[in-house]
Amino acid sequence: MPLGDFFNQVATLPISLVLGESLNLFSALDVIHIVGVLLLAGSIAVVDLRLLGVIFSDIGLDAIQRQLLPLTIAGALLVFPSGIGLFLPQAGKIWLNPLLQAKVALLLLAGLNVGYWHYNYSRHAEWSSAAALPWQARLAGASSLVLWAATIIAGRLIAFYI
Amino acid sequence: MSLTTHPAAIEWLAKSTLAHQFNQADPWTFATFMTIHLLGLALAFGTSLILDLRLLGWGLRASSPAQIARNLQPYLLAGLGIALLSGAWLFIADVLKFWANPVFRTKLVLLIALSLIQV
Repeated sequence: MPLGDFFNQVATLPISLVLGESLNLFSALDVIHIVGVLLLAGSIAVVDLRLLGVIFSDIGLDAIQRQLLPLTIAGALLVFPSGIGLFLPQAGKIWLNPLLQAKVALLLLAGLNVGYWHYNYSRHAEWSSAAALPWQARLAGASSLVLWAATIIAGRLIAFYI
Repeated sequence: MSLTTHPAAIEWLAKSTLAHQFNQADPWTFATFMTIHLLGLALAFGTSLILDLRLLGWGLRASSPAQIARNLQPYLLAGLGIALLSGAWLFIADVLKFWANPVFRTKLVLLIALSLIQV
């Protein structure tokens, strides 16, 4: 089945129709999505700045990561379901939007970056308490900041590409 | 029939050349300011939340509230400054549209309150 037909069918699912026809539900998803972005990106940025050695160099990376993770998870629980909810009713058209495509690609890269960092981190126990981190950690922090900022930029611009 | 009246300052701002220039800006200029606004918001909100939660005894307990404040203050203020400046641009570009919206005025009051708290 061609991709276009698939997304057209997604847009006619019962849940897509309910979301698309309800003005208040759709606006609510919009607000939830933004609050989730603030939580997710804000908490990730603090960990990234620690990886770069800019802030909290006196606190171990393990403590920072462990204690900020609940915020990141809360943000993700808000942002992903609401994002899917915003996508569903518009699926038939919006999948062709190049900025949405860029956002999905950036999200995948950001996810790969998280995975690669944790794989790397798990093999270096000495990093968890070091004040200054090696270049691998600083690269992970810098690329995470850039990728998440780019994801937000692409996401915000989706609405301007008509 | 009575016309809606606005405070003189709002009328003056809405009719200013600056407001006219901003309003005539390219759509991508609007998009850029909205994007910058969102990035500033994420930075200010994320960093202030970590401090607020710590004051409640949650989150980053490995650090004291004073230490968190010292570390995150520059980013919080940078984010707030970016959000306020880009927000001012967006407001000036469409003064009457925003002023007519009651939710916007609520936002303005809350914004002034929280900006004063930061000082």
